[in-house]
Amino acid sequence: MIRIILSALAGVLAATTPATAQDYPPLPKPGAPKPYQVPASETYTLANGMQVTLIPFGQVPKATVNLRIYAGGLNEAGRNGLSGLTAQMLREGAAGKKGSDLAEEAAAMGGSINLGNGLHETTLGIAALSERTPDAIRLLGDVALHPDFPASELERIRQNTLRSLSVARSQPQTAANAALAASYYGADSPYGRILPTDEQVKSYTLEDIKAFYRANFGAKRARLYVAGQFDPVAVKATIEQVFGGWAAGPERLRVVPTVQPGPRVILVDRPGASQSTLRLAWPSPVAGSPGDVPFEVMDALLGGSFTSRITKNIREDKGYTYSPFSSVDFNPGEGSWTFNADVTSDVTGAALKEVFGEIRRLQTVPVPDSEATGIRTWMSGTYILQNASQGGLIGSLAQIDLLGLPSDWITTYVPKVIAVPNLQIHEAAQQLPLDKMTLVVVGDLAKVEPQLKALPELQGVQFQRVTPF
Amino acid sequence: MTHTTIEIDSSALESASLEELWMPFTANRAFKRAPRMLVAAKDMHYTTADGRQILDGTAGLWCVNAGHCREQITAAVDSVIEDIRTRPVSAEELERARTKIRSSLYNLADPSTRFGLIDLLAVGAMWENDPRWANRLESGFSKVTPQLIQSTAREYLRPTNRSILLVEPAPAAAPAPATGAKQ
Repeated sequence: MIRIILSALAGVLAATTPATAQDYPPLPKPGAPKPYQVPASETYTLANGMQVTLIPFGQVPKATVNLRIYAGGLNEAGRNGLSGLTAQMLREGAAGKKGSDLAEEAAAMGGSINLGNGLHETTLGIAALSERTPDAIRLLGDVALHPDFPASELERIRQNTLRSLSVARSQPQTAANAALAASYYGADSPYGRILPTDEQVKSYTLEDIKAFYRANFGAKRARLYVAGQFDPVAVKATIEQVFGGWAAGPERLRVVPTVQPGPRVILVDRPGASQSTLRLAWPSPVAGSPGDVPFEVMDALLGGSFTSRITKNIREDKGYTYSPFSSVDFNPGEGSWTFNADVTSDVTGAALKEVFGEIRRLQTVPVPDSEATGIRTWMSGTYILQNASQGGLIGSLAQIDLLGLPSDWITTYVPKVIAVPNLQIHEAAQQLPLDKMTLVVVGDLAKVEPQLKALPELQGVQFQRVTPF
Repeated sequence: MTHTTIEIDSSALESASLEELWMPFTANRAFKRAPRMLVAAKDMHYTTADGRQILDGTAGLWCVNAGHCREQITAAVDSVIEDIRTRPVSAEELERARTKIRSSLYNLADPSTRFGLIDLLAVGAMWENDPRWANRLESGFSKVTPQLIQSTAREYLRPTNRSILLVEPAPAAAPAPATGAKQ
């Protein structure tokens, strides 16, 4: 009902839009970013080592409950995909209840059980009506502490996983990511293998899954976040009751990745491909280190925002690609900068020439103040928006824990961004030395390789062909 | 249930003045020179004005056509409507629906950007002359009873309140005229 009324409103607004731009007053100048305060939170530790963070927050009677456990790809010890399969099975039955019953319970609280699994963590979450927050905590407790791992569901989960893997492997972007990870982190590192093989997924038994769960899930690896409107007394009592008896389990495993230095060109042949998928990577400052924030501002200006220089150049001006973007990615003790794009095959060399040109320009020419101010303001505004939802704020707090950032990181982030001098943006770009890059190209190599060989930046660099899967 | 059958004289369709019509996804001049008119559809086929059958293969990335005038679909829709008209929803079903709609209302009012809340206030201001209308939505949900759902379904989802529009060709479809649109 609400949705229908809102679409009607959208129609009215569209119909009353003035016909010409001249009807508008001149665009106001963006105001100075306002100070941002993170809502006060309370963090405590249960006797078994589990951490709890409560964040009273928001204007409506809902609460987000998020349980994060440091059990993921890092803990697989070479058995790729086992943590993902284990995570999928958690929701299929717990505390004697079927998967469909668990889903119905979640719906009756106004939400659904969200599941995540990655290199570092398995996460379980639900956004529920405020008065059901204790029930939501109990439901997540059932799933995390008392999974039944029903044998009847394993084959369906396995087939779903195999199908998703086969779709993922058919994508050039996955091929590029896999080739980059294997080359950059080393094929033997848990950071270097992004997908399991079909044979691995087919080989895991229910006993393997249960053993992975027993070896990796426990209170010392777990953190529970509750953000929103809730009754703190009832919530604390429920948390103690549900999680207080959880076995402490193992300590969190910390593996800092080692990076294989460039220069290197990794090629994946995709005969007949009309586009080339590009990845360009360098090490970047570790999260929270003095160089981190200036480097992030530099990234936003160079390729990490829609108004960035690389996007303006190869998308808006040249039309080589639709969605180029760069990002800074962090693991504990390690950071990397990656540029990504899918470019038309015929202009693969031309697009890279422009990207190298933009990097070199930023390294050698100081940044105009208007451009630097615009980027700092954009970063400040989007950071505040990112932390203005329950889930977003929990995500930022979890990032602090994962990466070992100072606890006031969120509050001090915007002032840090605003304080980055223009000169430091330009200096940060010098951490992308063109003679040390790792470049991955997935494409029609018969067409693309001659274009790459002609680029001055790639002279003398070894070209290596790989098969990522 | 009422079946309204509109009898269409296909020659009239062929010669209907198309000049006033601008079709945004059609090559207008080519179409108006030799209009191909569909006069009926059943299951997976269209029928053209000159009596030919055309396979309706329309599909998109996210959906595929379920066919035209499918009795199975009508019957399935009827059975759900009949159920809600004759059997009071259970307290659990109603509570789940109420939880869901409250949860969606809160999601609308409290995302990080506040646009949802502004939209709600604007709807109240424009249609109810009172932005505080947004505050009354929730108490409205709580007043819904199984009896109210049933009486509402009986009032609005009456078989006599429903029309199924069937477009069928006239019994003796004349062959298509050789000329195009009327000048």
